[in-house]
Amino acid sequence: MLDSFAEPLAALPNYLGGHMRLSLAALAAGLAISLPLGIFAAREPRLGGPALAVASTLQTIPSLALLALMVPLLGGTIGFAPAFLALTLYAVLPALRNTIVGLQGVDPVVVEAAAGAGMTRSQSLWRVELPLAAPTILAGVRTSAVWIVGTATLATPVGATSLGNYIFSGLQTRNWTTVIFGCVMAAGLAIILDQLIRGIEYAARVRRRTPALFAGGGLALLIAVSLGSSLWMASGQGGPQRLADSTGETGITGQTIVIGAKGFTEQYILAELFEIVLEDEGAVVERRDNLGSTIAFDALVSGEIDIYVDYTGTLWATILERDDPVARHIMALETASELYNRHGIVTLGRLGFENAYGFAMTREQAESWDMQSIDDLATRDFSIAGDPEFFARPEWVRTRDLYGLQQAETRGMDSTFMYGAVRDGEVDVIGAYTTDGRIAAYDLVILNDPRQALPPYDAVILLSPQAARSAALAGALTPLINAISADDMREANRRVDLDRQTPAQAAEWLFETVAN
Amino acid sequence: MILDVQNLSKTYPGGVRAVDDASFCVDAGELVALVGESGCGKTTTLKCLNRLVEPSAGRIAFKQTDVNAYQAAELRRQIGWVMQGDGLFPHLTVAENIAVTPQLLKWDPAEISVRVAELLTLMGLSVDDHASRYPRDLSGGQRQRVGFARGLAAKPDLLLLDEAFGALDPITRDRLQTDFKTLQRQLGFAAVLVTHDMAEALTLADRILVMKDGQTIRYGTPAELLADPGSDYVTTLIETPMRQARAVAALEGGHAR
Repeated sequence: MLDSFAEPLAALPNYLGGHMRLSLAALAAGLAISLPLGIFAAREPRLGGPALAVASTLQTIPSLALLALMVPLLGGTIGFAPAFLALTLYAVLPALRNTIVGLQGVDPVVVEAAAGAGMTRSQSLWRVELPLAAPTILAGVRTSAVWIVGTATLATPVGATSLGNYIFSGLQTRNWTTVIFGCVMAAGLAIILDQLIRGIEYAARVRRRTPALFAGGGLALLIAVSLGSSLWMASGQGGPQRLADSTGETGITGQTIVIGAKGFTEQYILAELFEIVLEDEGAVVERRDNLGSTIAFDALVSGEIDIYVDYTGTLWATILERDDPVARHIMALETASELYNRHGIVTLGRLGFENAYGFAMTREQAESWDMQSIDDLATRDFSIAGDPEFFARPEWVRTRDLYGLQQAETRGMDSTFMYGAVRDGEVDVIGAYTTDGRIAAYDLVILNDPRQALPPYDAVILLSPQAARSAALAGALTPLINAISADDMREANRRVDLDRQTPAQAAEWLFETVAN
Repeated sequence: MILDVQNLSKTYPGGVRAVDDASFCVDAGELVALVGESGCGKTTTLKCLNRLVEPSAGRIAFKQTDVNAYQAAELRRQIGWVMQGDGLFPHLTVAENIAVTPQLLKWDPAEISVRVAELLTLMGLSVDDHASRYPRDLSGGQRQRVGFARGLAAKPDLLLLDEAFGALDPITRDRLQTDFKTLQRQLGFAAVLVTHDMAEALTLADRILVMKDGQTIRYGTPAELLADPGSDYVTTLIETPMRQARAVAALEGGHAR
């Protein structure tokens, strides 16, 4: 039990610090927009209506989508900037609405009394209207704060470090301890921030020094901790340099290489594997885990990350926007040349295994239905689960149409859950990842694809245009080319998903296997 | 002369003529009452005096200077203002409410606290019991007294009273009216009182301006109005309180018999 807590705890200063920096910065920026705008809008109803309409519309965009949209809007930048921008927009509405409502709710008799006593408009605002509206305004600020702290957990897929890193990687590796740990920390942070603002509101209302000192001190401590952890992080890195042009002689020693990973087990393991290899060469490795699929690619194009692993079938469909079926080696070649021509991205090589989609079902079910290939499904009513991306991909449409599977009942679910769902008979078939360790562990069989509807998914190492210029980096990674078999990858995945090893432990095993 | 109002008119957007050609003046130490029913334009007239409402036409001079020559806020700091239902700031203590205008005028803090204590005493409120309390902790009569204290805090030469006795129960109102009369004689400020109560106007005012639908119906001293109301409307306004008084007297007579 101690062991299962050791790893999450070690990452805490980084994740919590990142979460606090992101939340507090977005809250401050959100308030810097919404409070003055609200004050202005409360006095100019012509502005108030449209301002509230815009803020409300922003609020209706699902938070994950708003975060993800910021990446292309910022030209492929990942990390703090897009998350900060999205959360800032998200913070505007509650504070703006409550500022307008609070100010408009002040008794007009009292406002007239302020004018009659000889106050100018701004004196009336600061001495009378804002103090009287303060409880309502601060209630809005508290709502903004809680929303931001909660939503900041979704900043992980756009590459911003947050407590969401616990939740996303925990969900993928089915490490519930980590998931709960991340949730509890985020909830705790939200409650503390909420109570501190409430304390300030209380102190302002009763106008006593002690609660004001407590609340103000608490908030200052929160800010100090988040800034402190960032300084601590920076000093720990000792001023590294980003990867520069180099030849074999200069090497990559002391240079910082940023490794990206999408949000599933195999990606974590491969990122860990790269980390082992590159740190052996003396490089300083930074990680950007849990990136959304296209976000990882955008980040590579913009040079935010130097290296990550993608799959030819994914690139074929989402980047090249092709949906015609071609043979495995041709797809690899065409993808590599297109990525280089369009974006300067270098495909260093294939790792050697495919992580394709395969139609999987339990051996028991397959035998009782007498199934060997997808063709046999055409005659039956069946349900099929896949990750939400799967049913949007052209290969599903092609497979469905080629084999005549229109009767299938489709259910999108997180890939973590679909293996259990098919094992437990909740669905008949899943769009499985062929390297997943649970295929063997749950005794699933993959149906043949005689019409070759499902495209190949060769795992390839991609280098950013900048990173591709480093001969030393390419050299360090070359031993991994064509070195990992599908069986090896499946075994490494299985160690994490079923044996509860950490991705680092599985990568260690994979490294030994590849080296021998 | 403290206040000179000539041919004042106010037409609101949409054409409603709230005040039509009103003229009156107030000398030092005098009280002029603006009397009429709700909507007759008396409160609009009053608000024109400290520029809470901008007039459409006419001229208002405060201490021989056109009110438009003052900054609006500066003007209001020199003219006291007492509202119906007190209009106190709920988030400020009694002492802070009274101190508002002196603070805006940047009085010395020590001078302000002396003035606050002086006014509370003048209003018959004990300093120890009331200064640090909030308006919500006071009775209606006490709040109205604090409202008077706030209006008088910066030693204005002119005090505007907008139905200042209107929201009080009859006993409290009578006591406060009596105290106010004494105070005015003592301090010598001029005042304009808006009221719908002719009895109040007759007992407190040096001159009365009767308004109906924005028009001035009658302007004169209480004695002049009683001797010659000049119109049925003014007669009705004067007669109403008297008829009530006679009815009460008749009841007492009935009991006696």
